[in-house]
Order: sequence, then structure tokens, then C-alpha cells
Amino acid sequence: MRDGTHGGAPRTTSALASHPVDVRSDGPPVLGRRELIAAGMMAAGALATRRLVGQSAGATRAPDAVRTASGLVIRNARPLDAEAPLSALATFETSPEDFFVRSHFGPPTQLPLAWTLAIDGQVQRRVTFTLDEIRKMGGQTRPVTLECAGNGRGVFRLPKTSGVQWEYGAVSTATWTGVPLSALLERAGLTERARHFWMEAPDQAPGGGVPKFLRSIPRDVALGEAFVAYAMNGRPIPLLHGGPLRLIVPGWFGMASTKWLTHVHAMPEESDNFFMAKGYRYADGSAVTKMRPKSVIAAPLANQRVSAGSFTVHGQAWSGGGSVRVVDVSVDGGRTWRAARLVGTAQPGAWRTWEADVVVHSGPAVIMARATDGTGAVQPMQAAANPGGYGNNSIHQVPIHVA
Amino acid sequence: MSRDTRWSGASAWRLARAAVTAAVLGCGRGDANGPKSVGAAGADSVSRAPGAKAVADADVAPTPGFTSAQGTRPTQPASAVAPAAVAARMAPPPPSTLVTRTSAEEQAAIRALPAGPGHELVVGSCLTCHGAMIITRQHKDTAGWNKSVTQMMAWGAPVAKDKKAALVAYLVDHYPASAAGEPARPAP
Repeated sequence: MRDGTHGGAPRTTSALASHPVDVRSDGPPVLGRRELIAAGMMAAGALATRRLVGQSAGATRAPDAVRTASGLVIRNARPLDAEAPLSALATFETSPEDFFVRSHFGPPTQLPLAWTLAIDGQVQRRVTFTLDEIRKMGGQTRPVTLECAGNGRGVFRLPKTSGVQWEYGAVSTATWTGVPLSALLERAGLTERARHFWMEAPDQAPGGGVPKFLRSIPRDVALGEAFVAYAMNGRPIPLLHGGPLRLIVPGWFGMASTKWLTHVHAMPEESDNFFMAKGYRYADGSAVTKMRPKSVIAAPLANQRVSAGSFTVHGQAWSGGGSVRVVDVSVDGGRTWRAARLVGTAQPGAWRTWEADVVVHSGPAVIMARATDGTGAVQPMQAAANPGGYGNNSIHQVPIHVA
Repeated sequence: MSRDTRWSGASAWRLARAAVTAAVLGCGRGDANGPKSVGAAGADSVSRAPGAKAVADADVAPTPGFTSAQGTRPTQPASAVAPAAVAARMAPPPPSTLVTRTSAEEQAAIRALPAGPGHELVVGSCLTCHGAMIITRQHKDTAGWNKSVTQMMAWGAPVAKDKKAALVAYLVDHYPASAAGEPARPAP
């Protein structure tokens, strides 16, 4: 059960197949031609004309933000790990072209002809849903912020860290549409022994000896806010972002939101997979789970030249510990702080856009932003470093030149 | 297994992976054949999956740095494309396409691997499964690189036991730990 049991769809098509558009089940097409085209184009980030996707409540667009198609900053090419440029984080909703990309092994190379999601293990009955069945259940549409647990690893003040050397942009927010996991689990009927839910997907490393990337989430989270998403910003989820089906676990770091989801195994114990038992651990051995309070400055950008006087600083702030309550901004290197305006309304699981009008005088200056979440947790000036480079929520410092 | 034989296996693997990546991303044709309307490229990739051949062609194109960085590849067919056409298609890709940019940055990272003892081990072993940037952007001491290589070997990385020390030495030599207190910055 633990490894390699994603055999729910015996017929597969290689991504190298000459006619991948013929991805059909015996019934109606699960992935329509138009959707595949859209997904492919989105994944390539090659849209010549940027479609302005529907902006959620509270969305803002900075008038001076630099927006380029596929502006992702590549941190590793194979598999593709790429972060959003800070300028792309000025908007509440991140476009698929700018949304950070991260996975351990890249998208699966063998795609089921008909995508299904099976639920088994400690259940009264094994159930399998087709993609179409899940779509027809409707569900919910809500913005959720995802942040890679290693975001900021590359700017930790450490002599060494292993892993992708992210700076600030391995965080993005999309509007996801999907069905609560609890609704799917209800169809299967959980037994009392179903305490942890092991997520499985067909992605795997090229070498056969590498463990699969399998994460599990505890029962309260599975029956709480977790949902199985089939749309991102109103369109089918691009393959690079985990489509056609991915788990979304609001508030948790991104590794919990399993991409390319095909199986949910209801189990008595937490998964003992390498990426649970050894990976994603802080220095004290505790598991990396929820996002820490953190804020990022989208404007001004580092080393930007601004004129003396007043201008507006803006960015995003988020936390897995409840909605952000306060964002404070400093322009004097952290000596004095003043509260920023929080834009729009608080939406659980999503970041909050903020802006602050500041006055600066000639010379060098350092802009900082500090988030405080609903639990009262305050973003630290310097987060405790750990060997894995996880959870770096050190205060973002942006040096600028004031003329 | 001779080095050349091992290389061709690794090379074929890399080409296949690149092709898969291109096909999955729904792009790649524009990479090799010059500018093309985005809409057409996207539709093409879905209906005919042309990425495999296009990327493979680009990958074996005889660009000097690419060849020297990766060693000789006697098993690869010679390119039948005129040098001018090759040069044209190896020009920097337009900045708007993620796939072409990814391919170009990966090739640049491979070319930037410093020559010297152990270079062939990185290319022949590490790059079999993953890109170069995940290596070159990390900075670790001997214990750190030894841990990484040990983990990779346990997971099946094709490193001969008597070559492990040389591989670790290369990594420590070129990607050493940053000075304590300084952020681990990537090599320029």
C-alpha cells in the first residue's frame, strides 16, 4: 500500500505519445481538448496576451508593478523549481504563469487515460471518483496561499543548507475550486481506525531507488479545511501546478497540498515515508506543518531608486496561524514602526494585501514589513536557522536609494 | 562499464527526460524552429507533441561549450542542419517562454561546471537524474556534501564506490560552505 499502488488506472498514456489529445475514458472525455490546450499553454507560460483573470475581493494591482509573462525565476531546471518575481506578488491573486513551481520529481511522465481518485484503507467501502464526478459535485471556490516550506532558505544566514535555494518568491495565492475532502471521505465511510490520510500521486524520481513523495495529513485536518481542487483561477489546473486534481491544505506549507492526486489511503498511523519521517523536520525534530507569520514587500524592489518624500510601500502578509491581524512597516531599519493599511477583507487561508504611505529622506534606507497573526505570533527579525532551511520567516529587508 | 557506454546511457536518459518535460509543458517547437505564434505552439504541442524531437535536436546541436562540458558523445548522430541555422536556433530564447528559458539556463549551468578532476563524475552521475542548478546553487562543507552524495548513492545514483571521494572533493572544492554568518549565496 505504501509504495507504488497507484495502479487504479491500468491504461496510461506517455507524455511522449504522439496523440496525447486522445486522452479519453470510455465515457465522455474527462479532459477535453480545449482544456488540455489551455493547460498546456498555461504550463508553458507562453501566453502572448495576458488574460486578466477574475480578481478576488480585495485584489489590488500596483500601478507600477512590472509584469512579464513567465517571469518565474528558475532555481532548478530539472525538475523545474521556480519562484515568483517579487513584482508578481503585488496582486492578491497570482496568475498561473507567475505562481511558483515546486515538486520533488516533476510532473508524472505517465498520465492515466482517465483520471480517477480512489479512497481506500480504513473505510467501509472503497470508492473511486472520476474527474468529471468530482467536478459535478461543485464544491467551493476560495483563495488559498501556498508557500514552500523552504521559501527563504537561500537567504538564511547559515554556512550551509541543503535543498533548493529559494529567496522570497516561493509563495503565491490562487483562487482554487474544489470539493471538501470530507465530502469524498463521507462517501467511503470512515472507520474509527482511520486516523491519518496518506496522499498518493504518480510522480516519481527517474531512479528506482528513490522513495516516492508521499505525505499524510491527520484526521482533523482531512475532515476540516482540506479540499480536492480541480480549478485554479477559474480554469483547469495546469500540470505544473498539480492538475488535473490536487489537494489543497489551507494554512499548511505547500508540501501538504499533494499535486496530481490519485489516491487517498485512510490509515491508522502517520505515513512513515522519507519525506514525512526524515524530510520536513525542524532542528528539534518537530514536523514542519503550518506556515509561519510572514510578510513580503512587493514594492519598492531592492536597490530601487525613489525620490525623497512620500510614496506607498505595499506587499502581502500571511500566516498558517489564523489571519494576519497587523502589518507594521519601518523605513529606518527597524527602529520605528507604523501600521500598514490592510486591503480588502480577511479571507482564511489567504494572504492579506497591505499598503503603507511612508516618507523617506535622501540617502540609503531599508524598508521592512512585519506581520502579526491572529494568535499574536509576530514575525521575527531573524528566524531560527535550521539545517533543512525550513520556515524562514525573517523580516523582509529591502534596501533602497532615496535621491 | 566503460565511461563512454555509461555516458550514452545517461545521455539518452537525459534526452528522454528533456523530451518528456517539453511534451508535458506543451512547448519546445518554438525553441528549435524560431519564433512562432504562441497560440499555434500551444495547440501544436497538444495535438502532435512535437517537443520530443525539437528539444532532442537542440540538445545535440554542436555548441562548443555544451560539448566540452559534457564530454564526447560518439554515439550521437551528427547534426544535418547548416551551422548558420544551428547558431540561429541556439540564440537566446525569447524571455516569455518558460520552457526555452529553462532549457537555456540548464545548459548554461552545465557549461559553467568547472573543469577538473571529478567533473565527469558530476556529469555522468548526478545529472543522470537531476539538473545542475540544484548542485551549483548549494554551498556545503565536506560533511555536508558527503551526506548528500551518500543519500543519493543509497537511492541508486550511479556512483562507483571508489569514485565517491573524488566526487565529494569536486563538490567541496567548487561549492564550499559559505562563511558562517553570511547567507549561502549562489556562485556567480
